[in-house]
Amino acid sequence: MELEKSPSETKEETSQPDARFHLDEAALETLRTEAPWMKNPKYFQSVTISPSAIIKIMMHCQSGVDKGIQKGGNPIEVMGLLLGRPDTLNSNTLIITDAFPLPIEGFETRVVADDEHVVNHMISLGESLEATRKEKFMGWYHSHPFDLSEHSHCFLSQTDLTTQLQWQRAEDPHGNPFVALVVDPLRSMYTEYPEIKAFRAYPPEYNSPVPIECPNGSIETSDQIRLEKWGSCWNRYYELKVEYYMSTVSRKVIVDGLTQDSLWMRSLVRAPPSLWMPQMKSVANDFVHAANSKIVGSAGGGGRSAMGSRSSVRPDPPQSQEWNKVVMQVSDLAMEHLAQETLQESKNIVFSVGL
Amino acid sequence: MASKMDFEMTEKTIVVHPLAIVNMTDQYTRVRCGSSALPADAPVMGLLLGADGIIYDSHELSQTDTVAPQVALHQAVFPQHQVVGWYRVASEAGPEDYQLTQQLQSLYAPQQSFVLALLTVEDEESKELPLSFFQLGDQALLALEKWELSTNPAERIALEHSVRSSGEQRSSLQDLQHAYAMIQERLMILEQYLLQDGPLDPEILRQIQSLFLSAPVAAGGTAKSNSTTMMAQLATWTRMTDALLSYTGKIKALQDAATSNPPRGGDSHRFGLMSQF
Repeated sequence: MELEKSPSETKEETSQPDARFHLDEAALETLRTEAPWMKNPKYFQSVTISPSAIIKIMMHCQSGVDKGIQKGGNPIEVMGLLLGRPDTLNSNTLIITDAFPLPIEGFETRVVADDEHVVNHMISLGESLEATRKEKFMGWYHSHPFDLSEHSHCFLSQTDLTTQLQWQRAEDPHGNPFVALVVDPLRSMYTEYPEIKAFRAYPPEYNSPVPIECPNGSIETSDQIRLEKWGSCWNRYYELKVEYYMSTVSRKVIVDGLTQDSLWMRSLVRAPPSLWMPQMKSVANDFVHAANSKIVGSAGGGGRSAMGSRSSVRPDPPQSQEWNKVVMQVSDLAMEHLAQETLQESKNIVFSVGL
Repeated sequence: MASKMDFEMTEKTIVVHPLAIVNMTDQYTRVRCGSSALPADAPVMGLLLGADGIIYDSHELSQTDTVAPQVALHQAVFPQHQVVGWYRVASEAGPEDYQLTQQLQSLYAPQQSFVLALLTVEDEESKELPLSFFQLGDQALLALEKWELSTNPAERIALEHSVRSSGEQRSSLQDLQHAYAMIQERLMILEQYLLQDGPLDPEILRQIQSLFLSAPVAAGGTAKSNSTTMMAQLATWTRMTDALLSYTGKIKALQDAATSNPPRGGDSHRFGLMSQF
C-alpha cells in the first residue's frame, strides 16, 4: 500500500476522498497569482472542512460556553484560526484542513485583527507549523453563544464584518483568500447538529444586484427578521455552503475500526421528535418567506417582462432556486419525521415490557 | 498484532478521544500524499495531550525537540492539558521506540505517566483494533490492556455529522437496520455463552437475566401488536402526505399565478390567493 508511484499516477488513482490531501503546488501557485476572487467577489461558493477542524472548532466553542457558565455568567465567545488553501481541483471551493484555537475571549466589541496579542500568537503558531504543514492561515472562526432563539445566530456582526474585511484586504490580493466561520454552540447542542456557517465579505465597492438579498440568497421582506437573522450589515457579505470530507484512512480507523461500536448505538438513541419542532417552525417560516418573495418577485418581474418581452426569464432562476430549497427542506423534514416515528415504533416493540 | 518486545499486562485504563486519532490518521494521509512539509516517507509521529489519564488531542512532530512552542501555544488555550505521551503510526513497536519514549518522557513529563500509542493503518485484513498503548517498563515497553474511547457532546456531534456528510449517504432506516443487526450479533454471542458446558459466572448470569427482563422480544416474545404498528405507520404516512400535498398545492397555485396562466377552475379561490397579477 505504499504510495511509491509517480505523482500523476497517484493522482488519478486516488480515491475521491483523498483527493484533497494531494497538493498540486504548481496549480496552486498559478491560482494564487491569478487570484480570480479579486475580480469576482462571489467567486467562492463553498468550503469543505476536515474532521479534525470541525471537531476542534466545536469543542473549542463549547469549552467557551462551559467556562462562562462555570464562572456564573454568560457563555464566553471564543475564536480561532483556520488552516487550509483554495482547492485547485474544484474551483470555487476553499479547503479547511485544520483549526487552531486562540487564547482570546469576548471580543464582540473589538476589532480582532488589530489586537497585538492575537497577532503575536498567530505569528508564533504560524512559525511552529511551518516545519510540518504547507498550508497557510486562510480564515478565522468564532462563536456566537447567544441564547437560543428561533433563528440561528450564525451571522456577521458589524465588528465581525470589519474584522473580516480587514483580513480580506490584507490577504486576498496576495493569493490567500480569507474566510470567516461562525458557530452557534448553544443551537448545535440543542439540535445535535453542528450549527456553522461560512461567510465572505463584499468589498465596499460591490453591491449585490438583487435588492434586499440576504447573505444566503433568500429575499427577506421584513426588516426586523432580516436584522435578527443577519445583523445590521446583511447586505455586505454572503454565505458559502459548508461541506465535509474525510480521508479513507480516517474513515477506516474511526468509523469501521473504533466507533463502529458506539455509532450504531447512537442511531437507536436519537433526539425525540419534540426537538424537531423548532426546525419545522423555521422551515415553515422559510416557506412563507419564499412564498412572499415569489409574489413580490413575480409582481415586479411581471411588470418588467411586460415591457421587454424579449428578455429571457431572468427573474425566475433565483426564485425557483429558493422554491427548490424550501421543497427540499420540507421533504427532508418529512423523511426525518418518518424515520423518527419508525424508530419509536421499533423501540416500542423491542424494548417495552407488556405492551 | 504481534509485538516482538516482551510485555506484561497492567491495569490502568487509558481514555482516548476520537480527535487525537483523527489527527493521527489525517496526518498520515497528508504525509503519504505529499501535501505535508515533511517528505512522503517520513515517520508519522507526534505528541499526545491530555489530563487525568484522558487523551484529548495530538500534535505533529517532525523532530523530537521542536514541538515545545506548539505545546505552549496549545496550553495557552487549554491550560489544564499536559503532554501525556507520544504516538507513532506504525504496525509494530520497534526497538528504538523504547529509547524515544524515555527521551520524550524526560523532556515533557518527568516522573509522570507517559504512554506510547501505536496506530496501525496499513493492514487491510486485520480484525484487531488498530490502536494499542504501551508504557515504559524497566527493560521494555509494557502493553496496556485496557483503553477506551470516550467523547463529549460537541465532539460527538461534529464527528457524527462529518462522517455522515462526507461518506455515502445512508438513510436513517438503514442505520436502524444496522443497529438492530449489531444487537442481534451481541445476543448471539450471549446465546453461545449460555449454551456452553461448564460452570458459568453468576454475576454474568445475573446481568443477562436483567437484560432479558427488559427486552421481552429478545426472550422470545413475538410482536404482539401488529395492528397497532400498522395503524401507527399508516397514520404517519397519511400525516406526511397530507402536509406534502398542501405544500405542493400552494406551490402550484402560486406558480400558476406568477406565470399568469389563467387559473384552472377555482384553484386560486380555493387557496385564497389574489389572482390579479
